[in-house]
Amino acid sequence: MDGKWSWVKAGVALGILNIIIFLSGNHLGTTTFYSQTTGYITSFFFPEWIPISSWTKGTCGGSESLSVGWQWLFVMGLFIGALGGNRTSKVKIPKEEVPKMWIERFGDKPRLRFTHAFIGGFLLLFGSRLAGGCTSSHVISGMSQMAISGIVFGMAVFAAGIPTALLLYRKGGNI
Amino acid sequence: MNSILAIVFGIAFGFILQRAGALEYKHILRTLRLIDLRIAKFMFLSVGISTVGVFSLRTMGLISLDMIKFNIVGTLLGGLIFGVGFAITGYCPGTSIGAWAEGKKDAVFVVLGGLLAVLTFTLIQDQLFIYLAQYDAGELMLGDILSFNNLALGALYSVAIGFIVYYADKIELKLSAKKAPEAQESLSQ
Repeated sequence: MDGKWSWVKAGVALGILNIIIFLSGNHLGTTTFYSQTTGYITSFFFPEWIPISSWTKGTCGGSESLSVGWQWLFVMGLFIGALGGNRTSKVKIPKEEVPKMWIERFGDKPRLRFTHAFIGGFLLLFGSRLAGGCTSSHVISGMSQMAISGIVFGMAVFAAGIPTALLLYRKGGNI
Repeated sequence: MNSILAIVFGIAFGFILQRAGALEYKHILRTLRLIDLRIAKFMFLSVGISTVGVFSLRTMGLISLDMIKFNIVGTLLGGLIFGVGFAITGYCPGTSIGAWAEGKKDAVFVVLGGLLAVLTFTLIQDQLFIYLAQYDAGELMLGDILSFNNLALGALYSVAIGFIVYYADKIELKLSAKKAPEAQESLSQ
C-alpha cells in the first residue's frame, strides 16, 4: 500500500464530516474562495473597475462581501490539512512537479504541463461559476441533499470528463 | 466560533482528501479512464452516507437544506466544461489547493487559471445571467419532482447509490482479476 486509506474508510470519513458540517449550519464549498480572492486582488489594484457585489453573485457561498469569510477560512484549512496529511504520511511521498503518468504520455515537458494545467484550471472555474458551484458544493453537498442541480452537475462532469480522459490517453500510456 | 469551525472542518477535509488519494493526478485520471474507480467510489459513498444523515437530522429539525439553484443550461453546460477541465488538469478547484499544499507545482497553475476564469466570468456575467434567467428552475430537489416523503426517498436514494458503488467495485475486481498480474501490480502502486 501507499500510505493511503481505502476508498471505504475515506468515503465514510468524508460522509461523517459532511453531516457534521451540515449540523453546524454550514455547507461545503470552494468556488467562493476563488471569487473572493480574484475580487480582492482586482479591487486592490483597480478599485473602480468592477463593483464588489459582482464577485460572489451566484456562488455557492452566497456571501456578498470580499471579507475573509467562512468559505475562505475553510479553504485555508484545506491547505493546512492536506499539508498535514502529506507530512504525517507513513510512506514518504515523492515530490513531483509534473505527474509521472502525464510524463509517460506527453513527455518530460513541464512547460506544456503547466500550460495544460492553466487552461484546464480556467475551464474548471469557468464551468463552476456557470453552474454555481464545483465538486464540493454540487456533488458532496448538493447531491447529499438530493438537489437536482447537484445530480445533473455530477453526471455532466463524468459525461464530459470520461471521453476527454480517454481521448487524451487514446495512444495508451501507462495506467 | 464559526470561523474556528471553518478552519477545523477545512483541515479535516484536506486531510481526508490527501488520505483518499484525491489530490493525485493519476487517481483522478485512472477514474476518468475507467481503469480504477477509487475516487468515484469514495465520492459517491460519502454522498450516500451523508444523505441518510442529512434527511434524518432534517426530520428532527436539526438542519436545513441549502441547495444551489438548478438552471437547465447553466448547470449542464457548466458541468460539461468542468468535466473537460477535470480531465485535462486531474484536479478540481478544491483538490488543486490541497495538491498545491503537497508541493505539486502544476496545481499552482490550475489555481492561477481558475482565478483568471473567475475574472473573465465576472466581466461577462451580467449578460450571461440575463440569458440564463429563462432556464432557471429554482432550488429543486428529487422529492419535489417525485412528490414522495423526503426521508423515505433519502433512504432509497442512499441504498441505490450504495448498490451502484458496491456493484461497480465487484465488476472492477472481476475485471482486474482477468488482467495480467503486472497490471494489478501497477494498480496498487
